[in-house]
Amino acid sequence: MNKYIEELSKLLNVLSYQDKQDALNFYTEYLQDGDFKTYAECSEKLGTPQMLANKIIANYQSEHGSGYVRDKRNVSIVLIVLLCIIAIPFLLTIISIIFSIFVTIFSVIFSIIVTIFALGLSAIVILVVSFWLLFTNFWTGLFYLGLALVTLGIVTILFEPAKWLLINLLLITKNFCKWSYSQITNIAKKFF
Amino acid sequence: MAVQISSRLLDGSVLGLLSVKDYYGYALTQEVQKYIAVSESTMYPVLRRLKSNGLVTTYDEPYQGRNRRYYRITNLGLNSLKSIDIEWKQFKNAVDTMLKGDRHE
Repeated sequence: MNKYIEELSKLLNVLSYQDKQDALNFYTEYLQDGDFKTYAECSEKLGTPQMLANKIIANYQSEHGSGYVRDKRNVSIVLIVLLCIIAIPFLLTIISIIFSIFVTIFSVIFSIIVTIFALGLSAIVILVVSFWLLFTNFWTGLFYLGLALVTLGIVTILFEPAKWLLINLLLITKNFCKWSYSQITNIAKKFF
Repeated sequence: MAVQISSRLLDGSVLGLLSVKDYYGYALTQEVQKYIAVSESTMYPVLRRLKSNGLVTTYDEPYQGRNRRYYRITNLGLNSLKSIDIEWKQFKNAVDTMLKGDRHE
């Protein structure tokens, strides 16, 4: 009987500890109460350990879906850890590529905005200077005044699209960070 | 016998036996086998299912230096027994009617 239960115990390793113990306790008690001593008697009553184990496990699987069995999970955790180790260089590369893309986009937009601000600032400076020039050298002053007004106009035109671009970029970045965070936590939840 | 008991009826039968007195696994299997042919490995899933659904509870009693796990029906189990009983009677009547062939059409 002990040999029978021992074999059964090994075969039930795919179940959680509690489920395995419950089943083993039940059948140990069963065989004791039925006074089945030899391995042959036990097998005759309950089927071979393999058959009985299959039946017990099949019963769990039909209830919990195939994802239940724990051994598979253990194997998959080992696989995932291995995969992670192998994937680290690739992952680092991908992360740095994504990061550099973001940095590039940011710097392009940042430079556009800085340019716009610089234009605006210089326009204001020229405006002030041109007012002063109007009194000393009228035509030059007028030229600079016109230049300053044109520049201010361009800045005003460009200001809204630039603002829109910046806000959207920030929103996209925020959403992307949120999304990747939730993906990572989902994956983590699935396996641990 | 070609007619097989369904798992719901087996649940009901076990609950019925447990409504009279508490049994331990082996004794319960023997009792069920007095009436119908079920394999020895059928009872464990049944009892586990009943327990996880809260229809029976278990308690251990020492017996010859080891424990025997007894099964006791709960109030939920008694209610379930009643409804299975009703379902079975309706089903039985329906099958009886068809088998006798004396339908009034």
